Amino acid sequence: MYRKFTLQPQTQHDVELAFEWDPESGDLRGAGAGIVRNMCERALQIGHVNGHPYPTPFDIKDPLRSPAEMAVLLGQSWQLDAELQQAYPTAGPDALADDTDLDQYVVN
Amino acid sequence: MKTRAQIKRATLIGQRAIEKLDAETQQALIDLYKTQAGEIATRIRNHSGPDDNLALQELQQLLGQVQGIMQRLTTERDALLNEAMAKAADYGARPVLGSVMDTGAVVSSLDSMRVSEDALRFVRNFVAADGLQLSDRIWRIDRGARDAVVNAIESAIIQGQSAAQAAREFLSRGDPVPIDIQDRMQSSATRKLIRGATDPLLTGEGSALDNAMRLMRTEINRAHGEAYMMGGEDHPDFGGWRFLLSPAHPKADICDLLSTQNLHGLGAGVYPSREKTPWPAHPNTLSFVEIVFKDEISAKDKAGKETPLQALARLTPAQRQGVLGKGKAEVFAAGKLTQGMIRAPWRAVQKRIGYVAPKPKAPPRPPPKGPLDLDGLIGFGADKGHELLAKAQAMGDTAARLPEVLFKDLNLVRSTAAEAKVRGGGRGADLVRNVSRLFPDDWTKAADAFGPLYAKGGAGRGWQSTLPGTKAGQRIHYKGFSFTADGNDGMIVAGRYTTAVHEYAHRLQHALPDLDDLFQELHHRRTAGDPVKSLRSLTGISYGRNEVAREDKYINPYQGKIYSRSTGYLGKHGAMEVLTMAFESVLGGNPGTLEKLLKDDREMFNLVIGALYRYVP
Repeated sequence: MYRKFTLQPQTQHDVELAFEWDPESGDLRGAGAGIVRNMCERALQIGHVNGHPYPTPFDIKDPLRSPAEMAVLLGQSWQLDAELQQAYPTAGPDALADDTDLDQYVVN
Repeated sequence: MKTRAQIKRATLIGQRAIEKLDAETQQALIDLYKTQAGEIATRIRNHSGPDDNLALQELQQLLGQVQGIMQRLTTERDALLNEAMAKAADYGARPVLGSVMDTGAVVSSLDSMRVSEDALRFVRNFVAADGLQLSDRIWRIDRGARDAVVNAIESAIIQGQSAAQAAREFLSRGDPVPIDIQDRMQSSATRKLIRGATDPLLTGEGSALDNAMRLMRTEINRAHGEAYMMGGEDHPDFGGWRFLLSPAHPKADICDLLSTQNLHGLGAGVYPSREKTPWPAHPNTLSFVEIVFKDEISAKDKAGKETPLQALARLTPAQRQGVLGKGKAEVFAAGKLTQGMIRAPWRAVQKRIGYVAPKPKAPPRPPPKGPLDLDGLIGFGADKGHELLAKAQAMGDTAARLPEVLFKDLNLVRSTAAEAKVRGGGRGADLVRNVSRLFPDDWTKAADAFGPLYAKGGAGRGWQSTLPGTKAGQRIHYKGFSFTADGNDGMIVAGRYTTAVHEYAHRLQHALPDLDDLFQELHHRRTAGDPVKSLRSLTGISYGRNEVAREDKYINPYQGKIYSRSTGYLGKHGAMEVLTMAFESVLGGNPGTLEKLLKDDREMFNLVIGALYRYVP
């Protein structure tokens, strides 16, 4: 079943993205379908992307059928709606710091 | 019988389960080895005298206790290995032979359990090309570790003892004790002794932990793959096995060929039987195999049947060198490589073809003299970038081909062959070594000279930390890293190639602050007067409350992130992600990100190109 999305951009370069997506069949349609399809194809060329919270690596294997992978890709450039936010995967846990004084030297 | 879609889905779930199992087992191993190294340290402290030295008469008792600890380590490690292999084989056998529940979940069945047991038996008895079975390999690791730890303790105590005797003789004659004897007397000092005894267990490539991690990953993956294939070949629609390159594949090697060649007209990387499937190609691999059904094999696959040499010709020069090694890649380029030479040792190939090593090429021309300021670098980058883009466009997919064009051209003026010195083994360290070769050699060497670098893999958010010189001499225990600081020590955690590029760029930023200044200056010029906004509001993703950015026209809001704290390097304006995101976009291997940078922030692209060609530390 197709779901309808209208997402607002995170940066000045992008514009509102409107498209419809059927995660079961992997089909896309609507004005923004080409942008989404290209984004998925590009990510599949390398098999992973760095996503938010940056830089968290996420494997991308079947984004047109995986809401979690789709959320990661769209979340790089557009504000996610509630449905996609819910699908957004949690990053693997960070190891616990033994000496929290050293936290001040960390950059991501 | 399960549908083919169910099998495919279960295959993917099984692969993810193996990646998770691998990560958990690696962490469990680290915890186990650290705990036992801690035990050894405690025993050494307990035997130390009031002068903080360990006397010779304590040696035998201490060694007995240490050997007991090593035995315990072996027992617990073996239990971990057995449990992980059993789980891996179970995950492997389920996709084809498991039972499907009403929920769609695929669980073990009697058939899958039988096959997973057969696979485990096979893995335990498997004799590799070096003639060793799993038990031989484990024995080697344990013997090596035991010998290294015992030798370190024995020699430190004996050296300290004989130096003390010599010192007494000097003093009895009224002479001063020479410096080297004073140094040797310190061999049995507790702190030094603990380091000498535990480093062979924990630290660096070839340590007992590093070896155990390699073995564990190899055998988990082997158990999974063998069980998967034992379960699948009898399926009525079976068409072949596809050799899948792991997404975490750190650098080009033989797997690049095996996963793309179409030797049987079944498609890229597809083989007709277990016997013909060259998997796993080497130890420590996380490549997988997946079942291919008959009707997935297209007419195009059948028509595309090729020889290994034809497949090699399709690879990029960098991949070919990764598959063959430098020497054999040159033989290939000269049209003299035969099929049998692809996996033959270089020495045998040299002998066969009567190879004479070519005279060394003239070193690359040095970069043009004279430093450039920010605008000079952007201007140079604009001209050079234009030239590179034209070449990449002519090759088809601009963003995908640009890195290849860039490195070919850059290496005419500046070498990018040096690999960073990274302490530690495992995937994270391999990734960092590999990505360091994307940067000019003089940058990498300057970073090496700046201070030691430690790296490890991790599934979560990547990070880098550079400790100040004032930490030198202190024992550091931080998020899985454990070492004695030498000053300017760096730590990187990165689980994927792109993340490693980002984090190694952070390390360069600390080692080359002049380079970072250029990027921070550009940020300041573009954002002066702009308000700081929370990354949560800019992205809608749950960032920490203290994570803020100046928005500007970056292609990703994270690039404008501002750090503010009282200590540690912040650069001129606290904009520590401008350089990292810029290099990640150009060198990180993600054509989508590079495409966006080219379209929306050409100035940043030009600065990266200008710096790669013209910034000299």
